[in-house]
Amino acid sequence: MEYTGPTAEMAGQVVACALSGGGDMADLFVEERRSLSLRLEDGRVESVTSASDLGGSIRVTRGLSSLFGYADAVDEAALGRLAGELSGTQTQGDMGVMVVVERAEGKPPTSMPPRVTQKEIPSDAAGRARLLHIADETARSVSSEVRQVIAGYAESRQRVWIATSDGLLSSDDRIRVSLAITVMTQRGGLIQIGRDGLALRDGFRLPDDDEVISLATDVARRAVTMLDSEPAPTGRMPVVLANGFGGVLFHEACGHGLEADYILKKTSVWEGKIGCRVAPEFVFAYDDGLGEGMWGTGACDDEGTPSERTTLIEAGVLTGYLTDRLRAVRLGLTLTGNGRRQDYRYLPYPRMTNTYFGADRHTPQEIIADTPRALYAKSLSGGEVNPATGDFVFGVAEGYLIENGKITTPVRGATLIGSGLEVLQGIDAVADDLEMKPGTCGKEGQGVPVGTGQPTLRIRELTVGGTSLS
Amino acid sequence: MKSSAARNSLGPASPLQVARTVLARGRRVGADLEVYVQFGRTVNIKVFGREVEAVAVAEPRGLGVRAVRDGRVGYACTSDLGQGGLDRVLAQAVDNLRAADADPYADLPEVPPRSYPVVPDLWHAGVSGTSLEAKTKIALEAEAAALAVPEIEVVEESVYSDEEARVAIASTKGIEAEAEQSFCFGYVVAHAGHGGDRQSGLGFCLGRDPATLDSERAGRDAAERASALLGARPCPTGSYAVVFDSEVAAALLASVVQALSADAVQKGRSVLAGRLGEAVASPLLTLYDDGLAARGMATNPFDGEGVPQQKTTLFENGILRSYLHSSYTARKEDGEARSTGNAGRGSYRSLPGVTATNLIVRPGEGDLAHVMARVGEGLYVDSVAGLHSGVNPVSGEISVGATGRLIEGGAAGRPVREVTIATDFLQFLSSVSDLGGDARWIPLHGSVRTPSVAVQGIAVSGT
Repeated sequence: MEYTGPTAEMAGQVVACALSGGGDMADLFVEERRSLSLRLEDGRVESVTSASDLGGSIRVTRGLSSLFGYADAVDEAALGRLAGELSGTQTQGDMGVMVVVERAEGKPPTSMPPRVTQKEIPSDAAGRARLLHIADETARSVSSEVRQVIAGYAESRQRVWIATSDGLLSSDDRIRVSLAITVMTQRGGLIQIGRDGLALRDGFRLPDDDEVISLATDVARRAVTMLDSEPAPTGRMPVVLANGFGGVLFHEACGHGLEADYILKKTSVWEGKIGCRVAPEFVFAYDDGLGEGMWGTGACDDEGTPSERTTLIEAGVLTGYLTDRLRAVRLGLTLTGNGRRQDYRYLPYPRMTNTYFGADRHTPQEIIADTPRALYAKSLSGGEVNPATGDFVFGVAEGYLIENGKITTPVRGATLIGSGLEVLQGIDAVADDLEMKPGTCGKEGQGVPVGTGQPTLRIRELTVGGTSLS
Repeated sequence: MKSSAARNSLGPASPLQVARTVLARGRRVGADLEVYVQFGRTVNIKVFGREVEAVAVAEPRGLGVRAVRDGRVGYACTSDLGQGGLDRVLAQAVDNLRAADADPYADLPEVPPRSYPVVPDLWHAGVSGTSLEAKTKIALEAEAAALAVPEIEVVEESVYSDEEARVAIASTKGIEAEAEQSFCFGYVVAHAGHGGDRQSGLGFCLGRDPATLDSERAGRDAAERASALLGARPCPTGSYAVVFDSEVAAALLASVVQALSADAVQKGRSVLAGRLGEAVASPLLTLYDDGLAARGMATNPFDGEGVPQQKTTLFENGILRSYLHSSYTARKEDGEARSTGNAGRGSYRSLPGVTATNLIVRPGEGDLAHVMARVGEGLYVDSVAGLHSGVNPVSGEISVGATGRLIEGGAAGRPVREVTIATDFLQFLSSVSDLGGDARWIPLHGSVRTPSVAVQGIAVSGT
């Protein structure tokens, strides 16, 4: 029997009870999640795992203080007990404005219909295992230097219901399907890896055999190419970041610093910079929670705010921050639909959805041809930023040298390091080939699905950290 | 949500009782079963600006079932401990094994141990016996200690967090184990400012009893680390003798030890494969994995599949002595190895996999200043960034961002930021040239006890 979510009446009562001890706002977050994952290594599907989660959490806010609890249950008794416990708990510090809502009137769900074609979870785990074998066999057929293939398949359906003390009840239905391949190659003592994946937001549609074959072939070829690589150069030099994975640049160098919790605490280098020129006039950047087919897309965020596309940089000028309810109120900003959480066990925070730089008019070929010498970062392996200083670092999974306008030797082991404010100013060319990639963003100990992307672009100078000191 | 001092604050039904119930319900499914049950109680308090920012109290519960038949493994987990939930998780685990491929070595641990090691003091009444107010005070005191340092402009967050966890395992092979433990920790992120310059630093404290947490020191550490970096700028590119702060040494060692997983070795994912008995590391380096260390946060009588934890020598004076084994990787050695009790689980949500417990480095002599004095000229690294993307556990390459200070004339010189350091597992291990006597427990990357470590010939990229 499928769970159909809390009734508006029950949700309203729970929220009202949570607020009965005083507070500015309360909300209830209810979640049901089913997931299935398979992992192949050494040519064998070595594990098949299912997970079922059903639970709810309640938050009561007073000023900037949040009181939070959750239950691994969704019945009225369990949620009512939790609400009662939270309303009876005293916290120290500023009690803020005491607002007592007598009863929150629940409205009918405001959910938009999920844009999915196939919603039922198929029970055919063997069909998924078959795809992993195709990936394994394809990658191994590319070269005798392929030593190991790890392939993972994951699908999940997350349904959420959010009731707020404003009387709003929202819901969303998020289905994600992904297939990732890691290929390890070896020549003598040198081991290299290639990694990429497919991420689908089209109901429970499985990847086609052809998509898997093409992905596995591509990843294996790249891992073989990296066996010819030289140690990465070291020092300051121009960097061309390829489309797709290069979007980690905006995510780390700028995106995190625009999240309103850092802005409110004045622990972001981007605080106070709205309306300031932060990049050349051909630079545009967005956070788009509605992006069709993107990994971080949803009808609403995890506080029930409808998703939207927020312009963050317009013609080089900083135009927006990313908010959740708590910080938007305090900062006097509008809601942007960025209050997100990993699951019902966590408080929401301002988080990115899908971020990307907008496209400009150059072709990537023009940019490369116009570059005498640079590091070409084809694929990045992720990164990290300190929002307070803007200092970021990210790893180059697949890199090459550009010499005299041509992509030449592959290089390995490169790390890019810089500071957000400087790197945005240093963008000197943007191409027309915007592409998005899926990822998982970590913050506050929570992982949420995000999309990152960009067109190919060039940065005048960045510090490249490699092992080659010559 | 009152805190209770009662020993049985986690409720009447023990995890072991739940595990036995699931096994009983699964008698007729026609597969070997292992049930892992986890009950917890957690408190997380965050303060900002001398006020409470968030209080979260939770009692997470869940279980996972591993089903094995003819070398095929299925797994399912749930937080729904009702009868419907238990029946579904059993059915899913058995369904799932049908889609897996057979592996002749895949099985549950065969022989239950006669007894488990007795590890005293894993659980302390202080965690459940301390009020929310007192716990909040710990976070507030840590914040105040950081704010008392004049250079500190803002404390981004000061957090107190604790957990009581009770875990049980039962299997159709006869394993039955249950253990309970508690721990608590605090951490502070402080930002120092001067002119337009802003730098940040982290401090932490940990223990099993909130009363023993030195929260003021955590706040002071965060403040001092942030202040020390004011005015930092890149240093010249070159090859340096680097002194790694114990915090950074812990992170790097935890990365390197991934290559000692027998699973990585057997599947060709380790640069340390085939090197047992060889002098892989510097003769100064002796490293243990000690699953029973008295103060280790990863200490437990048994691992994630009910095998007793133990102390294993990984490097002895630089010689590679052992890999880390689960029952699966040991079985694959056809009698040449046995499980070292390193089948770890992040939680009930995951299958056991090979992981380190507490990594312990045999210390050298002298404090950090002595190590810098002995190194003479070089770079002291007090934090690194980008470990997740900058360490390749398969190829062994390490390239990460770093902050710290130059070492000039045997003492700490000007602060450094926006540089990268690059090395690889084998170079890092073999080039250790000195160890301090300042060993301490670092909980940030697993559980590691290490002193500061000096390594020669590290590539630094700056100006």
